[in-house]
Amino acid sequence: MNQYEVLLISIGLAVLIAGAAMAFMRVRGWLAALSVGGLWLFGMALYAVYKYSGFYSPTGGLAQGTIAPAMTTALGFLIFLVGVGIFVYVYRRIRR
Amino acid sequence: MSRPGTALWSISIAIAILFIALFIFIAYDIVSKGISPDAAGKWLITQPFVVLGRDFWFAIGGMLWVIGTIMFFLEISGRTVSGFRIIRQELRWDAVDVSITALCAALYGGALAATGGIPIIPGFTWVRPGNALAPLFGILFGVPGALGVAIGNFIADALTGYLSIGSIGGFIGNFIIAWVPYKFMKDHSFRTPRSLIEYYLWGGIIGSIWVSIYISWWLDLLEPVIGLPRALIWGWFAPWVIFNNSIVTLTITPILGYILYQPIKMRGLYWKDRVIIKR
Repeated sequence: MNQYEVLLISIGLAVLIAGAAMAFMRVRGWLAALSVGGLWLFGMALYAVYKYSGFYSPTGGLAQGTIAPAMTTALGFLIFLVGVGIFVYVYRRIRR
Repeated sequence: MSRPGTALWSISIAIAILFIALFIFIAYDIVSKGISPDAAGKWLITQPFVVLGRDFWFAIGGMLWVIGTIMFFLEISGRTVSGFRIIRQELRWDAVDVSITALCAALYGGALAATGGIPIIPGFTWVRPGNALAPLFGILFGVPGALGVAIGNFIADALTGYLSIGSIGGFIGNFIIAWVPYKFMKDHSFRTPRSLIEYYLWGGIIGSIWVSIYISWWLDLLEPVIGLPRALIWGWFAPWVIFNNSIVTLTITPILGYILYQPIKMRGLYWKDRVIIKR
């Protein structure tokens, strides 16, 4: 792990800890801070999985000729569908 | 409220068609001259960067970076600028706002990653039709939507092999694509000539230019760390980002906005119905 990866992970952790502290002190926005920190670290976890699976090309981007591009497309659609699901949930919930 | 006249509609539609035609011409220009970084110096859209030079754009980029970064931290801290004054704009940040942020992150990140396996030039960039969602989420959902766009871009960077220290610039830069039309458009309905013209100006053009220069400045500053040569940043990356954003935000976003504004507004999810502004 290089120093820049450590920096990016630290940013996510700092936001997550700030969210936890805000929750403890009952400050508005704690859920948002926890979510942003959590999603940031989720992004870093995806990065770690891809990196150690050899999915990244040495010149940047995805390694062509491997399973990585197809898997990313599938995963992208899956995450998009999760977004649609949350949208439908919020849309119905607010209707009540 | 009186309905806008036919002349006003004609003018706004003519302006929209001109913007779209301009970027279709730019697309033709890029394809005919070649998409590779070597051919980028000949593109029409690259000429302002070639003529005015790196130092000029670095100075402009520095100003836009400072303003954009201040605005990002102001907005997420519950403040905003109104008439040269900083005022409080209280967001609820309840389960609905946080869900909006999460859904925008998932929709935007997923849409970007879904085409991440189709690079235009491997290692540089990819086709990003998902960019059409960024200004839309800012316009409809305000700060929670813009924050979702920023996170979505970060996740897409991780999934497509572009995550680096440069992604911090991409995080705030993508927030700005959503923030600019949210902040500067007065009519978000996509149903009036004024709304259309405002969108094409702020969402289609200025937002795309701002994000391009914002990220380019960050990459230029960190050139010793990231390693992307400055000539490539200003002579290829910056014009490409403007084009890649504008071509979809000028064509797809207004249609999505027209379809989604009314149901979002009716359910009380539109940002203006969810914030408390304290003057």
